[in-house]
Amino acid sequence: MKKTIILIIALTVFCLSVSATEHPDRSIAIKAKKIVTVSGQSIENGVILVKGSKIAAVGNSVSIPDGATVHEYSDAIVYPGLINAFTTLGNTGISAIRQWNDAREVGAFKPNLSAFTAFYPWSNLIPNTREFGTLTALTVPGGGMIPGKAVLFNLHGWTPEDMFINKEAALIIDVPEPPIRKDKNYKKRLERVKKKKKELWTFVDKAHKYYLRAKNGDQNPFNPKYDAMKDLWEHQLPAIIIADCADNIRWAIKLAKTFKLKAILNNVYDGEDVLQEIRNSGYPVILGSMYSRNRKWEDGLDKVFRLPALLAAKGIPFAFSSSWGSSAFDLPLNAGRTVAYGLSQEEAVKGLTLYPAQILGLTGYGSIEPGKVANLVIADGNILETSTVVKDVFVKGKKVTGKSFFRREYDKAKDKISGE
Amino acid sequence: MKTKKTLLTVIAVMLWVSIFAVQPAAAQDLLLKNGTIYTFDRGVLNGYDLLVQDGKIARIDRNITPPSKTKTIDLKGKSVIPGIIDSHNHIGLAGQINEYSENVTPEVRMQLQINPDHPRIYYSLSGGVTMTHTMHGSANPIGGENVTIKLKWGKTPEEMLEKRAWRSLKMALGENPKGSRGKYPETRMGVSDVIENAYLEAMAYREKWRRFNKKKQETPDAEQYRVIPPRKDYRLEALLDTLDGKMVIRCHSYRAEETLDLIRLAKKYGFRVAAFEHIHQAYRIADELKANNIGISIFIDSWNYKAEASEFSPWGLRLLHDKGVTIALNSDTSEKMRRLYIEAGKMRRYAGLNDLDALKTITLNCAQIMGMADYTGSIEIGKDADLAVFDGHPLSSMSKCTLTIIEGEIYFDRAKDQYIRVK
Repeated sequence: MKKTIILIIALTVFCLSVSATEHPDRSIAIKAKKIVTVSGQSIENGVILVKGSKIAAVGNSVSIPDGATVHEYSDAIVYPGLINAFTTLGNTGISAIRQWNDAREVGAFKPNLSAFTAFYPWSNLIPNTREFGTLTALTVPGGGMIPGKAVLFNLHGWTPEDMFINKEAALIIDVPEPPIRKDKNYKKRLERVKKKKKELWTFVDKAHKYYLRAKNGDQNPFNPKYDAMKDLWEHQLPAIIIADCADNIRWAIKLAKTFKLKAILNNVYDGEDVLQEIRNSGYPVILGSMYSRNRKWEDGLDKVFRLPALLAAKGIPFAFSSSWGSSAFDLPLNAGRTVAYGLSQEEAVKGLTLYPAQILGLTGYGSIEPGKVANLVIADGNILETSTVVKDVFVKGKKVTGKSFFRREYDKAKDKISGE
Repeated sequence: MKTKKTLLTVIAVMLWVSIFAVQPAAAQDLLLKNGTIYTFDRGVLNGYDLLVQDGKIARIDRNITPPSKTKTIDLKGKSVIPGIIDSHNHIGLAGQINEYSENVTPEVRMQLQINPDHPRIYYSLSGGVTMTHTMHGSANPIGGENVTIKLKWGKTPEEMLEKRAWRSLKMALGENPKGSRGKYPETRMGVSDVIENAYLEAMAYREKWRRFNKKKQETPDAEQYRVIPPRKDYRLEALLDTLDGKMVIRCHSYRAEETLDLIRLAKKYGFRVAAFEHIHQAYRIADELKANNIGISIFIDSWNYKAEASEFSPWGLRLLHDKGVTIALNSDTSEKMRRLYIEAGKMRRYAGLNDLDALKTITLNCAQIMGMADYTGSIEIGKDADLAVFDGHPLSSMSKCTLTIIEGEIYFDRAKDQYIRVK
């Protein structure tokens, strides 16, 4: 009897120990020539240990557990997944075709609309964009003065739910721009813009009052638009305010301060003229595309791409963006261009990773550190350089294996295959 | 008192105007010292000097002693590349780019509306661009005659006009020419027919004149008055120029099949296509393009802005390069023109090209499809001194152009750029 019990115990212990070692270790180890952590010094010949969807360890002497899958990239540089802070990826396709538009809606005030409801995860633009290093993006609605709420997502997944990080990550406010050309309609157009700005201010004011009444327990006749604005005060939902000319930037800051909005300024074409005011406001900036013209001769030909260096020098946090879905893949070079005009390469990379993560409240993203989400880009060179090819990407710890439309088209044409 | 006031006003105005006056670039011999010179025949030459005399590249050597009356510029190691050429653009024009009132308008010529003061010419110079092939738009199956200009900002249109380039006629296939104007053509079938029909008319016209000339020869002098010539038709004569080798075709197309159809028409009627424009689906027909010796003038990776541009792969450029198709990159807009060097840099990742071959896509290859390869497009002794100086690697997104020289004259100097901005 005693012998049987000992045998059973021994067998149980054996089985338990066997099952423990047979349990597949879900760790991934990535070895690379260089790891750009962004948060600290770059690591030469380092290892990143990924467990599940998170980074477990980074360094030169990381111990790799048995059973971990090891990826060796002896000639590559690893970056954190790039973040596009303002785009229409997933909500637009071929731009000339109206039926492909699900970003720009009719109407002036639509805070109750959310980009996530129209998000198309099977757009061929998503793998195309991911293939060049952008792994996270904020897709925004457009049209009118308050187009609606933006969605934050990772560029990998099957259904929209697989991809979303935050369905309603920010409210977009678009301040109407005064006309630039001083033709015969100038005064009329200027008056119209002034009127619209007043309407915008009034709308935010009324929405704020609606929120205060609701907070006090007053009976508010339900208004879906004002109701949708409540998040601005209830949960400090960020408000991304698009403003270009100096007057509008000042107006945007005033609006945000008056109504205590957690504001993020966008585009700020004339940012150079109001640098100190932006600094004083404490609001960060999401830049527009660096592939843009100066609007007036007097602005100088480098007006748009000399701004990031000035923001960096003033200590104003900034993030790069590439709004059009079809060219969003070119984001790293879009940012790289600013290096020729005074921005350091380190700051440019930060503007693609850590800064947008911080600006958009993405605490687990933007750098390669233990505890952060394992969004990783394996590049064969400097990510800001025109010659660099991205070899692999990992999204939430998983190596992405699906081929992009661009790659499949090449494969088909190379072997002249009709069909897939 | 009044005359004094007038005099003061005149002086004030003259002083004020002088702030705006950009001194026309002086024709001067130049010595660019200590540059990193990108030549296609001798490779990249580090620490070399480049001597420009009479607007031509005269010498490339180490330690050249400056001859008299030569302006010396110490480049301190900066890169020197051939002046960038944009083989497809619409800048520097005073008006409309499309004569879309009719479908076939080869008689109109873009050279009649060159606007030498356009600010976008200056912006292009700031990106190192020295020459553009300024084209008619794509609203017509057969558009107008394009013009090649050197970007001599501020000079006269005649001085900008580049007469040595091939004459070229714009053609367009696909969505743009069949754009719903409620008239023929509405389909690609119609577009093809419009082009074919135009050539049939041109050939009928040529036959009429042939008969007239024959009859004139056979008619005695006294009876000459009876022989009435056919009506002269500039439109059809322009088309005949394309059949007589006096003008090449530059055809805007996107899809592979419409391109193959145009090649068929070119062979049938005898016109020569120098290059297809945009042609996003070129990667599918690299063999055919090479077999017919036709180049392509394309965006490197702008796509998906319309339906016909929605099938594309930038990786396909490797297939085209490997087959030996001449690839010229273009911008089609002034915004992209000034960053063509960044676009060319991407040829290294998409097609695996080395620096010099990537550089050719914005210089020599463009010159080749414009008929200017003997005069510009590379840094060689005897060629026009069309040069661009960059403060870093000339194909890097992180570099910028600091000096642009056309035929030995400096047309853009970044150091002086700040000076001419007026607030």
